[in-house]
Amino acid sequence: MARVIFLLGLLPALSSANGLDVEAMARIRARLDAHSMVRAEFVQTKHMLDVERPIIARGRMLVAGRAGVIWEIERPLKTTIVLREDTTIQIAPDGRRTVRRSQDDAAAARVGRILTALLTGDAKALEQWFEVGVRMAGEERWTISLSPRPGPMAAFLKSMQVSGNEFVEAVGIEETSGDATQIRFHNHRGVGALSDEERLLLAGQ
Amino acid sequence: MQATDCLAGLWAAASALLVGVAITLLVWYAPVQTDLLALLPSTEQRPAAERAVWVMHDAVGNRAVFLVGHADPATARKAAGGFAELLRRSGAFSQVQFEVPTMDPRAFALLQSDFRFGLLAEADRKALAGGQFDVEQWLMQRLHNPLRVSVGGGIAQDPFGFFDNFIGSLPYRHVRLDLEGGLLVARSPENAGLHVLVTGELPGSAYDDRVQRRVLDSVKAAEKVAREAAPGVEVLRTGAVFFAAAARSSAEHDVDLIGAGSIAGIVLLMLAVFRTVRPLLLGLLTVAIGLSAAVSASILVHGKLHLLTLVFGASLIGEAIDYSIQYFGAYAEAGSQWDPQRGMLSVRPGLTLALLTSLLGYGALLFIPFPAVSQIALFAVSGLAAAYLSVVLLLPRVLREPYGRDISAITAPAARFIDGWRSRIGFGAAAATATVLAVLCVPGWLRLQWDDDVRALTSRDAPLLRQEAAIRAVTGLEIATKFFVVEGNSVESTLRIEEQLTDRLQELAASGQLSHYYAISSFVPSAARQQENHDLIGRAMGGDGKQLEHAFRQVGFRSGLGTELHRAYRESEGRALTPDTWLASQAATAFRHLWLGNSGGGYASVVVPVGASVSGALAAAAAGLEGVSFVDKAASVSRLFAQYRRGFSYGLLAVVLVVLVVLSRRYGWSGGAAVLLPTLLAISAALALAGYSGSPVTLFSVMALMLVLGVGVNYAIFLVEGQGRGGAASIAVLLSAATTMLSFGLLAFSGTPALARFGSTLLAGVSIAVLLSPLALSFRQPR
Repeated sequence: MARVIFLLGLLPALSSANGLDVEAMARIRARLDAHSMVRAEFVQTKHMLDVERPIIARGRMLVAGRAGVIWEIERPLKTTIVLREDTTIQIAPDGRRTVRRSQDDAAAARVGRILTALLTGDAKALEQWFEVGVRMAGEERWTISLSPRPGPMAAFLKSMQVSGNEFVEAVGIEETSGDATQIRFHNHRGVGALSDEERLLLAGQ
Repeated sequence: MQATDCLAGLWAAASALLVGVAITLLVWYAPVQTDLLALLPSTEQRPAAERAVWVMHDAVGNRAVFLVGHADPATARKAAGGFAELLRRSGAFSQVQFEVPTMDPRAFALLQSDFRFGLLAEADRKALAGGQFDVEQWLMQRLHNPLRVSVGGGIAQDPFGFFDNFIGSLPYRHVRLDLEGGLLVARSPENAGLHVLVTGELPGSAYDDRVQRRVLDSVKAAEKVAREAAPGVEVLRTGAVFFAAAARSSAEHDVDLIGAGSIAGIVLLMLAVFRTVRPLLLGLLTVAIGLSAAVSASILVHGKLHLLTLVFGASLIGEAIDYSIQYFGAYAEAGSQWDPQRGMLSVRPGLTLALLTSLLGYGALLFIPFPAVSQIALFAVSGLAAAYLSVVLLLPRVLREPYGRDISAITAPAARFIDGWRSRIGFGAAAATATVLAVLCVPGWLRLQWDDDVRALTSRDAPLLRQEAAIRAVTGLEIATKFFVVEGNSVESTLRIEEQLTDRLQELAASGQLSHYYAISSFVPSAARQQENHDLIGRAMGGDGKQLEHAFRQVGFRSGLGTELHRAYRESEGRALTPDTWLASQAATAFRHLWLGNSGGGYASVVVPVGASVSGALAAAAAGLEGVSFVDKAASVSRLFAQYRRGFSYGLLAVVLVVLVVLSRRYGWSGGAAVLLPTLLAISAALALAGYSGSPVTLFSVMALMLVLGVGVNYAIFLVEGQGRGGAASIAVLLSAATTMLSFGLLAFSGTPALARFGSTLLAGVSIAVLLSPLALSFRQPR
């Protein structure tokens, strides 16, 4: 469940992985650490068995370090998701808000904990859920493969791939159902000043 | 003479039998009860509610829960595995659960998916009922939602996410345990450390002594091995079995302290006064017969001896020896003139009166519907009566040799003191003393505070409480102490009433007054609500398959999927999930205790609220709902305690009058009042002391005052009765007062707050009664 949250968390924080390729991980980590605050735009393409054509969504993302992540789909339907350690907020196109507090909802708390582990580059915690593999292509490009360890997550998720160089550039998700999602990021830049709205969202309001 | 000989023979035989029975019962039957609930009065008017109290009690009672943790997850898993294996091999548990079969979470939802068109999360139900539904909007949203969770199969099976939302809203989400690599684990929020859940089913009752011992031994050994194998391993535990075992060892410690302390005190005091072992041994014999009778009677009537009774019983030693001490006083006084029967005749009226007043004090407690108190009262009444009979019937037969020693060195000062008191302190001085004392009490009375908290009855082990809190924090598992019981005529009406309740609880949760709740209707809505949901979903999908198919095609679904879904919907018409079906599934494992099922008169279920922040909000939620009762055993018992406390306060006055009538038969009305007055002053002073010291008055302090009346008046009786007999009688009074105060004083150190308070009130009251008892002599003098 909530696999996309794992993935969102991964973006700024591929600062960690296992001991297989310690040196490669250290290099990737060093590069990503320089950008723990980042904005980018994304195109999300889903291929679903039940749907004839790919479902494409575009939007932007703000990773604000430990404060959380804002994931905003702008087209075709404006949907905002805010991921924080203690709350998850989802705002539907019609403005309806769903707020899940970690203290009331252990499932949300679990997501928050995984997210925290990812954001803080806690390789040990990541390894609890995934088998981690690292591949370097030349000096700059890298790919990390995550496959879930046996457990409930493995029932939904087949594998995930994250690749990039200075930033995370692409994320791929394959589900056991055969559905697959590709997310490509572009136009990475510094965070700059937060808007009032962003500040409120990251404050959980 | 013939008749008394015959009686004495009978009693000697009966005593031998009683001692044998008591030893057999104690050794072979192991009758000690550690379950506090068994001692509490029933508080619920509705039988289903009272039954629910026991079901919930057992649901958590027969299981031990462990968390084995370490900062390094791999070490934690390994340690937990070794720990579980050792527990398994010890044979102390009927089953130890460690590995959990890895299961597909979709299988969890599978059962409910057959009924998915009748199941809606509350938010979706509201949205659909409010008409805020645009098929294409919802489809698009669902397709793009990056947080989509699909337990219900492919997206065309659950295109609007209703079923996923329903599953997501179920109470599973409150449990902070993850299924990882075949283990149930919890991550501590502070660090990356891992805790692994290990549970053990007990082979018998958690309150069974043998079960407790085997469990404790095996856990201790397994924990030791785990810690030695990997330093830093933490083992947290909880379960009724540990609390009960801790309460037992605390009570055993109390019994040892009070028993050994009382007996040591008696031995020293009696040897110091009488200088020979004969009275001592005979006195202890009467105590042994008394205690044997008490143990036998309590077990025969109640089936078990509760820990509280045992601790209290140990403190009865000091009082049971009083009768023999009075007889030995007369014995020492008589010297070579000793005639055992005449000696008995001289003390018997006093002894009988003393027994009667004590029986009145304890007897008043015998008839209240509160097992803890009536058991203690029965123990005391039977114990004291048997001790009295042993003194009156047996001692004159065995104490034939005259007393050979001169104890005038001890008795002469006492005699001088009594003579001095009688000549100097006349009626006027005594009346003045009493008046001053009474006036001094008034400010203390005005400061009295009450406390009726039932928790005073338990000595809950602090380290265990900390571990329980830690386990709760890490896992999110709750131990229910407050809950609702819902009753209906049929399964359906029970579920419907439960839904009325949970609608209210949802409002409480929305306003932050409640965290969440566990209810069976969350998993299995009433048939009526399932039909309602079914209709709402049908309205959303449109009258026939064509509309849905069109909408599906618009957003890009393959052709035919909309028609197919609509057909599945139509086929599900009239199909409803029932509690029986759901309860039989594996998904229900953790929640089965919520359904009490058929109980003769109807059906009943339990709703457990968690994290209520406003007291009174829960009781208010049940108000006005026919068939719903809010059960808060601790609060109900505390309320009952308050009632008893008030009742006993009036009862105390009634007993005062009865004691006065009993005394007046021997001393006349004014003489009886004179004998009673020191004790009444002692009760007033003990209450005033509680006020001055700020320690609250509880039901148990009022009970103790009842006994101060029954026991304290003995010393005035003994003193008045001993008037003609000189110093030895006074020494006997002092001696019996000392043994009583020693026993009750030791009770004040009990680990159980209720007993400690009982003991300290008794100690204060009886001490003051002893100190003031010479006043009885003054009041009896002619003005």
